[in-house]
Amino acid sequence: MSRNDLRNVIGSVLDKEGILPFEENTGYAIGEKSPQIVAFPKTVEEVSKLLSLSTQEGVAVIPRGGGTQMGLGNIPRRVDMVVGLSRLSRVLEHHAADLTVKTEAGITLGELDSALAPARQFLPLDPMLPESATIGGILATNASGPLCLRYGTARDMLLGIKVVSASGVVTKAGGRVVKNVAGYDMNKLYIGSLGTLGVIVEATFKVAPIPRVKATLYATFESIEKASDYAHRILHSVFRPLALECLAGSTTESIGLKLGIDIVQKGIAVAALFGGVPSVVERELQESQDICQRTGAVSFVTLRGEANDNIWGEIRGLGRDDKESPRLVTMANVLPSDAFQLVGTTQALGEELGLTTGVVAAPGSGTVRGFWEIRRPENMDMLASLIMKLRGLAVDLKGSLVVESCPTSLKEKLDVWGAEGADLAIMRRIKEQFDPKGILNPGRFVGGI
Amino acid sequence: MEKQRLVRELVAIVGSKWVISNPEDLLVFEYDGSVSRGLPDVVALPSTVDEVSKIMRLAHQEGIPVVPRGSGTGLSGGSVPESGGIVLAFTRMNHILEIDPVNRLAVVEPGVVNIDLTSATSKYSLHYVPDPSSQRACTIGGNVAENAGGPHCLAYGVTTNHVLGTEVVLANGDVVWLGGKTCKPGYDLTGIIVGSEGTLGVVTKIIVRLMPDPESIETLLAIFKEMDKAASAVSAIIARGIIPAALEMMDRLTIQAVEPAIHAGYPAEAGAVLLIEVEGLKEEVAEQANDIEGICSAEGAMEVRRAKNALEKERLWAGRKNAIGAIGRLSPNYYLLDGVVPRTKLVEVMRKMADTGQRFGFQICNVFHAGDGNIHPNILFNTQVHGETQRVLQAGAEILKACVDAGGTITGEHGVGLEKREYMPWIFSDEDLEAMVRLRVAFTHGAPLNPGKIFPPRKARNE
Repeated sequence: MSRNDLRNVIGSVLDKEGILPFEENTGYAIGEKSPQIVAFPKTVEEVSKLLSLSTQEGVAVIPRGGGTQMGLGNIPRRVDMVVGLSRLSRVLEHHAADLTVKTEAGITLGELDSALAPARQFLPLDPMLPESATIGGILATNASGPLCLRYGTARDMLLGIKVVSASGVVTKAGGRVVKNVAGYDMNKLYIGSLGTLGVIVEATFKVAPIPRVKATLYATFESIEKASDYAHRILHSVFRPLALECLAGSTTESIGLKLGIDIVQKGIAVAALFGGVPSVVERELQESQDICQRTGAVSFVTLRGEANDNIWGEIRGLGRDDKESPRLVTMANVLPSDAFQLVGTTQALGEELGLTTGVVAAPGSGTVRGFWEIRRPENMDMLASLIMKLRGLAVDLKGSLVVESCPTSLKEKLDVWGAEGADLAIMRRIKEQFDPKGILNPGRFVGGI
Repeated sequence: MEKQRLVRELVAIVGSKWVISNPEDLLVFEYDGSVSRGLPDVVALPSTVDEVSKIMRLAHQEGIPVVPRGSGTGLSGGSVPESGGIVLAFTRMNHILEIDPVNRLAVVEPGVVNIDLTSATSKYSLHYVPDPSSQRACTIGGNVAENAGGPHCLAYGVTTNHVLGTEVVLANGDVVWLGGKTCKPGYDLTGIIVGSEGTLGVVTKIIVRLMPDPESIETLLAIFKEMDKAASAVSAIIARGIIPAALEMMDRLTIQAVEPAIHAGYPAEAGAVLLIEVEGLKEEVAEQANDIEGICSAEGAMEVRRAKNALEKERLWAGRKNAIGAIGRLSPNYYLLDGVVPRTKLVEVMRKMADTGQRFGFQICNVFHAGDGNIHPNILFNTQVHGETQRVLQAGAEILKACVDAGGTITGEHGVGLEKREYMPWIFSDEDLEAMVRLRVAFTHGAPLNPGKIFPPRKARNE
C-alpha cells in the first residue's frame, strides 16, 4: 500500500489529532527506519480497527508507549506504522482497600503513582524515566529497577490485562483479584513480549503500601572483594533491603559528583535502600554501618529525604538514551553468586580497550549492567567484539547478555538478544499462532520473532 | 493401540514393576480430592526424564491421552483421566537434586512432597513459601501444574512467584528447559507452564526460589461474635498498610466442628475466628502485632490471643490446619469450593452464600484465606442421598457465580480441571478462550495431553 493510501485508510479510523503530521515522523524512527505513519488512537476500539486493518493490508506495526525503550531489540525488518498509546491514559479503577488498580496502558508510571499516592500506595516498579515510561511499555519490555529485590518484577504484580491481537481482536486475561488460576496465565505471556503478540491496552495490578520511611546507606570500598563481602553480608542477613545496587567505574564518579559524595578512584560503591517501619530502618542502618566497618569500607554516608530520592533517580536513569552522546548499554544476568566476578571482568574489559566504562550490578538478582562510551563511529567493530566477549563470559557463567541500547550501526553487526535456546521453537510457534502475518514489531525480538 | 500391546511397550520402557494395569489396582487412580472420577487404561511410574520422554513419544505416535499425576490430592479433577489413556504417576521421581543456599534456590523432581523441601532447606534457614493445606502429601509437580497457593501466599505470592524454571517433556517427547536459574530473554514460558494443569507439557524438573526464614514471627488469634466484624477487621488491617504473612478466617460452623475435635478453646458463642501471622524484623513484627490487636479490638473482637512461644503458635494454628478434617466428622461428604472475591466484597458474598445454603438446605462451613479474598466454602452433603450430588454441584455453581458477579473468579488455587470447565465462559469471552487455545496448539499441536481439562468441551473441540 502506498504511503498516501495508508494515510487515507488510517485517517478514516482516527480523528485529526490521531495522526502525526508527516514531517514529524522521523522523530519516531526505529533503527533509522522512519515510519510512514504515526497513529495515536484514543480508544481500545480504535486500536482494534488499526490492527485489523494492518493485518488485512500487511502493515508492519511498532507499538509505542513513552518511547523510552525504543532502542531495545534488533532492527525491525519493516517499520510502516508506529502506534502510540499515550492517549489511552486514564486510571480506570483504584480499589484502595483491595490494593488493586486498573489502568489504561498509555498512562505514565509517574501519573499512575500520583493517582495512587493519596491512598499512600504505589506500583512497586521503578524502571528508568518514570515520567515518560508508560505502563504498557513497562509491561511489554518487562522493565524493572532496583526495587525488584524486594517487590519482584511485573510478573509478581500484574493481575489482569487487556490486549488487542494482531488481527484486532480484543482479549483479556486474569482479573482484578489477587489469586486467580482460571485458565492459562496469559498475563505472563504478554509481559516482556515486546509487543510481538499483541498491543497491551489495559492492565490491573496489585499495588503496595508506600513504606513509612526510607533511607539509603551509601558505602564505598577500595576493592570488589570487600564490596562483595559487605553486600553478601547484608543480603544474607535478616534485613530486608528494598534495593541493593553496586556501582563501579564511571557510574560511581557521575553519581558521586552529582550528589557530592566521596568518590573512590577505581573503587566500588554499594547503595542499600531500607524502608518500612522507622524503628526497623534505623536498626538496619545502624547494623549495616557496623558491617561497613567490619568489612573495611572507605566511607559511608546515610541519605534521607530528597538526597535519598535523588540517588535512586540517578541510578535508575543511568540507562537512558542520550542523543548527544550515544552509548552502549549491556545487561547481563548471572547467578547472584557470580555477579561480582562479572563486575570485575566488565571493568577490566573496559580498561583493556581504553573505554570509559560504568557498571551497575544488583547482586541480589544477578543483573550486571555495563555502560560504555562510544567515542568514534569507527569503534563499532571493537564494540561488537567486546559484546561477544562479554556475552561469552556471561554464558560461561550459565547466564545471558542482552544489548539494551546501542547505535544502529552497531546493531547491524550482531543480535542484541544473544544465543537462542531450545525453547525458541515453541516461541516461534506461539508467534505464528498470535500474529500469523508477522505484522507486530517484525524481527525485533528474540530469534527474529 | 490395543491395551495389551500398550502395556508391553510401557513395560519395555519402565519395567514390569512400574506399570499398573489390573482393573482393581487402577481404581486407586480413578479419583483425586474433588468429586470427579475417571479410570485410566494403564498407569506408568517413570523414574527418569528419559523414560518420560519415551512414554510421551509412544503416546504421541498412537494418539493416546496422557494424564500426569502427583499425589492425587488435587481438588479440581486435574489428574483424573476423562477419556482413559496413560496416567503418568511421578511417585518415583521424588528427589531433591540440588539446594543452593547462596543463590537461594533448589532443583527438585516433580514427585517431591511439598513439606519435604522445606524440611530439607531448614538447616540453611530457608524455606519454600507456597504451603497448600495438603503440603504433607501434595507434590511440587502437582503444585506447579495447578499453581497452588496456601495460607502463607498473602505476602509472598503463589507457586508461580517461586518457580524460576522447569524442564518439560513436550507432547511429542522432546525435552526442553523453560526458564532457568538466571533470567533469559524471550517469552516467559515458565510463567505459562505454571498453572497449565498438565495440558501443555509434563514437568520433570523444577527450579524453585527459596526464601530466608524471618527473624521474628507473631501469631494472633482474634475471636469475633459475627463474621461481618471479622471481615471488616481484615479490611482494616490491610488498609493500615500491613500485609500479614497469613490472614485466615473460620466461620461459626467450622468453629463448632473444630472445637470438639481439637479443643482449641474457642468460646461457644464465637461466630468467626481470624488467624493472623506477621513476620519480619522483630521491631516491625512487634509494632504490627500491636496494631492488629488494636484493630481487632476496635472492630469488636471478643478476645485476641497472642502466641508466646512456638508451642502456643502450633496450638493457635491447630484449629485452622485440622479444620477440614474436623468438618469431615460433620458429614459423610463435603464439596470444597475455591472462589475468589475482592477482599472488600467478602461480607456481601458470604451473605449470598448463606442464602444459597439455606435455599438448597445445605450446611456450609467456611475456612479460608481472608487476606486474599480466597474463600473455601465446604458444602456438607451425602452422596448416598439420591440427587444430592447433583444439587450440591448446583449450589456450588451458584456460589461461584456470586464470586464472579462480585468481580472475582471461580478458582484461586485449586485449578479449573474437569470440575469448573463449564464455568469458564462466566469470566472469559470466546475470544479470550480462543487465545488460550492458540497457546495450547503452539505447545501440543493438538495432541491429547490431559484432555478435557480447563476448557469447556465446546471450546476444546475447536482445536
